[in-house]
Amino acid sequence: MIRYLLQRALNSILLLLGLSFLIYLLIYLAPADPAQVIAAQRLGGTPDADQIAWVRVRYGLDQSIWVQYGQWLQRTLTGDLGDSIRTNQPIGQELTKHLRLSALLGGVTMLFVLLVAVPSGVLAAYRTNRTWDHWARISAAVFVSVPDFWLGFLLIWLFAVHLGWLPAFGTKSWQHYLLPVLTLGLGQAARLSRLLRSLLVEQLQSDYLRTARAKGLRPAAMLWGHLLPNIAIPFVTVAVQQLGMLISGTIIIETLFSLPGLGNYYAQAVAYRDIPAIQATVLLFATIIIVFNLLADLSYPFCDPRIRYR
Amino acid sequence: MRFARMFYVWLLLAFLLTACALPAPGSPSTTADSPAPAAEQTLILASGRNLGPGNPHAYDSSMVLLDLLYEPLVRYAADGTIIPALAESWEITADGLTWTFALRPGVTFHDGSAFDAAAAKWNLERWLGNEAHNWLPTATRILTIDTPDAATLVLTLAAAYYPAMQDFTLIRPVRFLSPSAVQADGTFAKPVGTGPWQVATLTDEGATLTRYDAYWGDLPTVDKIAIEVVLDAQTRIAALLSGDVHAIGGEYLGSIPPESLASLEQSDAVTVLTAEGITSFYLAGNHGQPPFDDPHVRQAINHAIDRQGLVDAIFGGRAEVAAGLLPAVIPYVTRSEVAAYTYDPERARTLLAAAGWTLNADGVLEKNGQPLQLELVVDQSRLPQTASMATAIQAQLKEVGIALELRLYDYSGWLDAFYAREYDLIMRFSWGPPYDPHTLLAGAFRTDERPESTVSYASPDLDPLIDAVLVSIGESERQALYNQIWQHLDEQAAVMPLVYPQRIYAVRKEVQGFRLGGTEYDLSYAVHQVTLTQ
Repeated sequence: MIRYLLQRALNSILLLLGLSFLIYLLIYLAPADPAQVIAAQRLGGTPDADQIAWVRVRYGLDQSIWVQYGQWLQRTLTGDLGDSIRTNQPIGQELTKHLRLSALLGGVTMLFVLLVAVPSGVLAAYRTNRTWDHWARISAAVFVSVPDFWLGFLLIWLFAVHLGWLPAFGTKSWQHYLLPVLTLGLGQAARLSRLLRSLLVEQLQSDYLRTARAKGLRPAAMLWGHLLPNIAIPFVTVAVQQLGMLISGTIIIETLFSLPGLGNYYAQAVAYRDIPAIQATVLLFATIIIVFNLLADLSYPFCDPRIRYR
Repeated sequence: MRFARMFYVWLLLAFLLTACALPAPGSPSTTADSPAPAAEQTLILASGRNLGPGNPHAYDSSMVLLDLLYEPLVRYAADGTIIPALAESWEITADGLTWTFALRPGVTFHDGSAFDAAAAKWNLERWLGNEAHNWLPTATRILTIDTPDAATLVLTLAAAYYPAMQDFTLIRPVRFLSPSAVQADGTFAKPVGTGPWQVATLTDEGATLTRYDAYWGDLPTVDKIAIEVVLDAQTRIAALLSGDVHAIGGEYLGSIPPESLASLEQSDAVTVLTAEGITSFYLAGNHGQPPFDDPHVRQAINHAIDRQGLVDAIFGGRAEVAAGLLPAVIPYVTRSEVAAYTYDPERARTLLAAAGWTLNADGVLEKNGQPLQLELVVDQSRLPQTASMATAIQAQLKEVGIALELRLYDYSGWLDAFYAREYDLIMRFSWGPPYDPHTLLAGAFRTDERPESTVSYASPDLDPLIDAVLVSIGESERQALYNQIWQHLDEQAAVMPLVYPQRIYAVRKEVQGFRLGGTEYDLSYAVHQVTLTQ
């Protein structure tokens, strides 16, 4: 087990190193010189050559990519993430703040997703091709195809403008979270629900089930004791991956609802070419996804005792 | 089976629980209480960007927040004149080199400390001569600061520079912070100014400002201002219509997307306020590169564009036809006798023919085997109408035989093309008052051979005029020089001005007294006399 974990850790570090260099390259491959974008974002309009030169010197952008990356790497390895070019605040502090909100939003959304997807998927599996299954299939298709910003805005218009029941933006009270959670959660719930359904349908046709029924096992015990545990691995894998993405991939929703989460922070960093902030945030995203995937993998021995890590 | 029933019951319970917890339909949002007439009134505004820490000497805070908290020596009034603010009066010597300001007595910062000449000097020293502010010419031209007494500030300049007065009306970095609001090493600590509003809370998500009752001037009529950060433009509209905010709009606060204007105008809950345009959108050719080295081509393009058509069809009438580079409301702008911008496709064709261009088989003008094919670079993120304008102009230029290819970029793509000069035509805009006209002329119309120059057009005939006007002393001398500058720009068809978009705000009907000042960052002026009815 220890060997396994060490191997994973080493892989992850190599991955993060490679990723951080790739991001540096991408920033320079993107249109416009970062110094020009930073100067223009800072002052507005079209700054002159003097201001761009000042930005270059101030933020070390006049050096070669290798030197800049090397300096950044050296600093980061000692734990110093640097200051944001856009806000002049320490990036570590800002990331912690934004992570808190993203984690809260992601966690509540996942809870909502599970509460809706599990019963819905189970019902659809037991009543295949009957009314509920049809409704579930249609709504799943709808929620998966509809772009989330459109859905979000539709919900805002319905619940905030026309009905006046919920606020349109912000994070002050729990009501402020309802619309973002719905927007993010409906699509994910649809996906998970259909996954669960197809996994269960496959299980419901197994031989062992016939034996269990012959033995007189009640449906509830069958579901909780055999069916769900047998589909746990693929289900947990997807669910955990989704949770990782919920924490790191919600830029549009956070902008739409004005939620100060990680996606929001990242979007603003990219628009500003705030290089240290971009690097730090990407590394955080990657770490979150790596950690969650690891957790999913580590849960397999619990789901299936036949699996062991050496 | 039992599962179905269980699930339906579960869903019903979930909805009931949520519904019970929600406020009743039609009630106002949870962010503000419904004020009774005698209770405290809070005006709620929506900002399209994060507010920042509120440091007037840095560039990480919202300009409109800074305008509410901090004051300048002098202000730019709605009619373009300079009026007293923290300076009651001022004198400039005949050579333009010594500026004496008489500071207003009895002014205090929000922390109670006095605003006097020492505090003023401390503030000026924070940005004068500092390379971080080298975009502001005044920062490099002031030689000395003297404080002969507590109410007098004397500045000497290296050379005469009349726009320094305009620069003093700006926000960053010229406004006055309390000297006690910094840490021991001089780092900014708290937002403490002399303005009519002071900070109660300031976070990433918004600010609450309360009226500063010891303010030296008339007190604002509303008690509190809440600025909520609402990043998305459509969400701002929804928030206005739902009553979560009271006012939106303006370049620096949170702009209104023009496609939403119709729904705002139709709404009974909202009034749309507009004021005449103070910025100019214009096309610039790649200066010095063919075919823009030929004034005939520039003139022809000017006559080929139907500006009224752009205003009617694309701006829905909410813009003015450009009759010159800048709107007439900008100081020193006059119109020359040259009819350079009339819509006259025949004249355009004649000019191009005279320049040696003839129509080829494809209907495109050609000279020496080269077709007149131009690339127009546009930043779509600036205003949604920029893309539509580009398309309309493409059709209009086709009528006279010019083939225009459109490059619709986002902001960074546009910046890239702009600084690398990878365009034939580019759409640009002026900054508006108080930067115009001097900043635009010095920055975009004066020869600059450096690699990242921002020049739209320059000429050895124009350079001495611009240099002279910046150091001019008397009003009449200055106006005469400006007249010559406008004359030159019109005669040479230096650039192709298009429209002056109107300024647009939307306020809820219960907001009375919201007025538009001379610049787009004049939020303190806008809200000063606001009252909220129920």
